[in-house]
Amino acid sequence: MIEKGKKMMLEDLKKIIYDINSDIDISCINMDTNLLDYLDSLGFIQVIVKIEDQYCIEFSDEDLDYERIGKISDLLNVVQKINNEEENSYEGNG
Amino acid sequence: MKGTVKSYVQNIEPFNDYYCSCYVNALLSIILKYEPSYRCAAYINDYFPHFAEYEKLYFPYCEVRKKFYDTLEDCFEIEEKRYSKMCNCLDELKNNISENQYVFALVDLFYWDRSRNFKGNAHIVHPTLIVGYQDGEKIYALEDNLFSGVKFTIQEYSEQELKQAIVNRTKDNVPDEGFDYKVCKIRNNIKIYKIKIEEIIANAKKIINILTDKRFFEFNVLDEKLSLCNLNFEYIRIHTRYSHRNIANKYLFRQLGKELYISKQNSEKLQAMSDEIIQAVDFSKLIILKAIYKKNTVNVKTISRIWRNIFELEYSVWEYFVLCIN
Repeated sequence: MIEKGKKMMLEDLKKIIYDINSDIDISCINMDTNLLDYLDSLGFIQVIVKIEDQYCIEFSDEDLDYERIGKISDLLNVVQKINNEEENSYEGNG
Repeated sequence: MKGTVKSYVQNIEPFNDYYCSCYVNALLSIILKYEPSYRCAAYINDYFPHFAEYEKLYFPYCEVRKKFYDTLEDCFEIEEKRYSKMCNCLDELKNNISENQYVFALVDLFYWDRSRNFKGNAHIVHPTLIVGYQDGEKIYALEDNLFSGVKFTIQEYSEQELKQAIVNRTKDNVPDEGFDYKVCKIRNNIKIYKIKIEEIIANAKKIINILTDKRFFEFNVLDEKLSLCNLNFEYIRIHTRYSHRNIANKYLFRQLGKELYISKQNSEKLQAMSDEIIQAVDFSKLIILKAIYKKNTVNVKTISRIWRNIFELEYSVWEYFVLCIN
């Protein structure tokens, strides 16, 4: 079962994908979807940049690997991990 | 009163196994309709990795040798032509197409590339294969989208679009290639293409020699040059070309396994090694693409590390190939 936070993130992601390419049938997109089946490399990077803007996070260069974030579930895991790390560092600084 | 609408579209099969160049992919899209054995010619490792200045950029890239082009061009009688009058350019192209000849028209990408993402920002000559027309309305050309890897399809343009891209090529300081269009007539007696294993081994040894050149591992030059360059989409084209060369290598190793020049096990191992290179090139491509998109700089150390690894992997691939074939 998908946890609530990830379910919301998946819905956000679908909107982002639709904004980038409205020809994509986003009802087919789920956690197992590989983004490369729907987007070219430019589209993929546009998704990454929009996620960064929306969640105020930044992917490291090391994260920019299709193997690591090509699949939606993997991508959302990385987003959550970055989010947690940034929250922890914020609390640490506070 | 409207006259009879003439139309003609040639039979063509877009070659999308990998991206070599617009011209090579277009030639293969024609040849394979007549002689399918040339699919193997497309995979031949007659290329050289290079690390030098290339179209004003300083970045690793790879290029096929003249012999590779010759093998494909030898399937045609090729005539380079000038338009008798620029205002009649479309009629001249259509006449040749109606006579079942293939026509590469030189166009200015600035007007031709609708995405404006790649070379569309600059005035650069591009040979587009015109494969058909519907008189007074449409022109059909074989074109691709580099961002999607390779997806050559027959695309529809208006006559006006083509005319603008042809006529403006002669303006805006675009270099003159010495001709306006190429008419390619397929030869009747194309020989069946057969792989020559000695040639592939010799090419492998040449690549090993090139990659032994210490410049390939001295990225301080890249550090200096890349940080000075304005990042642009041409870097993405270079990456696509490099990763696609390795897709071609995968096809080659698969074919050599099929024809029993190498064992199935070695064929699979070499394909897996090529996959590693493709993955590494894509990694570098995404980092640079993000920097371009966000108008940021790149971490040159990361890019250098990735490319050092790519060259080491490529060296290992060809070294292993030579070992396993002996």
